[in-house]
Amino acid sequence: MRKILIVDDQVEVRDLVEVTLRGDEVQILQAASGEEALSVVRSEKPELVLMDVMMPGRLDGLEATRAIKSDPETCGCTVILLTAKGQEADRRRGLEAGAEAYFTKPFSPLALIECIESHLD
Amino acid sequence: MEAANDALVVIDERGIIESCNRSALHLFGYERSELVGRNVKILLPEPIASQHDGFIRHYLETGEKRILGVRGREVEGQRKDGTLIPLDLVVSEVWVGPRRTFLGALRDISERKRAERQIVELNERLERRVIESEQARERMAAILAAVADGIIVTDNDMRVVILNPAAEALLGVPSIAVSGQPLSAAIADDVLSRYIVSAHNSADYPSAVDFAIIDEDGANHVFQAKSSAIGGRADHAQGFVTSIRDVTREREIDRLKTDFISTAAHELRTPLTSIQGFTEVLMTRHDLGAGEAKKFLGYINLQARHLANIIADLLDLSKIEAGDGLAMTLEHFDIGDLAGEVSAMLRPMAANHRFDQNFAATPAAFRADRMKLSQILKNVLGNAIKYSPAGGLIRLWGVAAPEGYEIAISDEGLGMTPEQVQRIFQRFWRADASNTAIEGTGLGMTIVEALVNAHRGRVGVESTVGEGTTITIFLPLGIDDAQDPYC
Repeated sequence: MRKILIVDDQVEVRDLVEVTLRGDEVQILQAASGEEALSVVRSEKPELVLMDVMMPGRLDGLEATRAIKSDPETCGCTVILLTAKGQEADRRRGLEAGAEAYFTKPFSPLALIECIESHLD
Repeated sequence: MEAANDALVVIDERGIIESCNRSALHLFGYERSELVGRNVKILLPEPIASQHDGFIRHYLETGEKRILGVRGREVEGQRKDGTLIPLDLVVSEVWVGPRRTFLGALRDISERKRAERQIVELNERLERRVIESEQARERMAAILAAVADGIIVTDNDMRVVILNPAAEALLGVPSIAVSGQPLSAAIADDVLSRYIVSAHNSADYPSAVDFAIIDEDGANHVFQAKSSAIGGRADHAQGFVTSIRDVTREREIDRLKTDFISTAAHELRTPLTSIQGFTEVLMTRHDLGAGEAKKFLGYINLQARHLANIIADLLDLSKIEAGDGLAMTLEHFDIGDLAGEVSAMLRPMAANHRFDQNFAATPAAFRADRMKLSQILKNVLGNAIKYSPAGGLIRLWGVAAPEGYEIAISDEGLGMTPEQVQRIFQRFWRADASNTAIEGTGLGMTIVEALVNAHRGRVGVESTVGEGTTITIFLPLGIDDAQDPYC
């Protein structure tokens, strides 16, 4: 069973992604902050992380992505940034932090599924 | 004598012409027969003609030379047609045996006189030009001193010709010290000197360039430099004029605007994510349970309302910031009554809370904009309720002081860290953004601060995490409509 982690400080967005991806062959994990995301990535080793960029707390999405990508234990995990910051500079910063893709809110759940499928396999 | 270029005329002691050469005939326009035997006066205009006999007599009587000599003198002759000719005349005494004659050698100096006149005219014209250019220079200096922009003039060899006082001040060098110096030596700022060099070297140089200078106080200033060719096209220029304008404020406003738009876009997209996402889920997924579908509709409804609130607050804020939305209607009213109305309006949100309200009598001199104070109290009281989700006591009180009236609202809620207190008036900042149970746009306290400022008042914040928050609003007495309300 595939594990996908969704990180967002807003419960609605986590629920939205969860219901979008829900299925027999996938297990959805949730985290509400960058810190929580790091600990889930280390313990659960998900295949893919959908990461919000702007989150309150010590680690925002970019810093959490850098931490995941710089740890040899977790760097194999695919990170897709999911954010309402849609400017070109934001996108560049996201990819520089090591994320594989950048997905802008608001989004179509079907388009999100396509994006995730293209990055798994 | 005939071959001589000069006109030669020989006269006797009485002034009678004895002979003359061809040049003389040609010069004066006479036939030889018309001159020989006539008094030389015929060749002179008045009044010299009448005085001539006297000159000869004077010489013969006294021997005093007035005319004779090797050095020529300028005289005027008269042609047969009456026109005058400037002449150079040398007279010498010639003895023919015992007889004394005088030989006059005459040279037409019309050309020389014309040239002399031209020189005089040229001199006058030159003097006028000098005066005019001096005046133009003074005018230019006055213009250069009067403009607030810095101006650098460079010649075709890329040497500095002039810095105006504004340029001296902003570049920190006196014009006199760098005048005639190469650009690279005169101007320390690399971006600026490279830009001026590019204007000199290439016809398609950038129309303007920004560069930064840090002043003595350590403040960063952004300047915009713009070069244009003197005398039209860049490839035929006699140099360049570069103007330098302080654009620090414009750039700061641009940055704030861009930041604001990008933050606002982010804030609008966040609720839209739920609205778009859950509607699509509801339209495409048919395996949802009734409870789940209802929960998602609840999310959509909540986020749509949140979006409406953001837009309402943004409009309020933009009205406040535009200034014209701040037309103040100042009137006297009872502050306790207004606070009572506001808390009654918000009470339905606060099922778990207890309220305690105690307002000192409103001073007779108190005046404020009732609508705006109502909005201030609504935003502050709304926060007190929202950020104490477990309930508790909410106190509202008012204290009169000689110079104003202080309103305070306290809660026993979540409270804030000192860092959070620092950011409370920042747009879109929310104390607990992760807690979606607490609705908010992050604009409420920004609006409160702007409205209190419009009353020339102050907002104070005291907060302890886990204990609660107290907001105090001080409104001074004696503000009036005539004063600029926005400070």
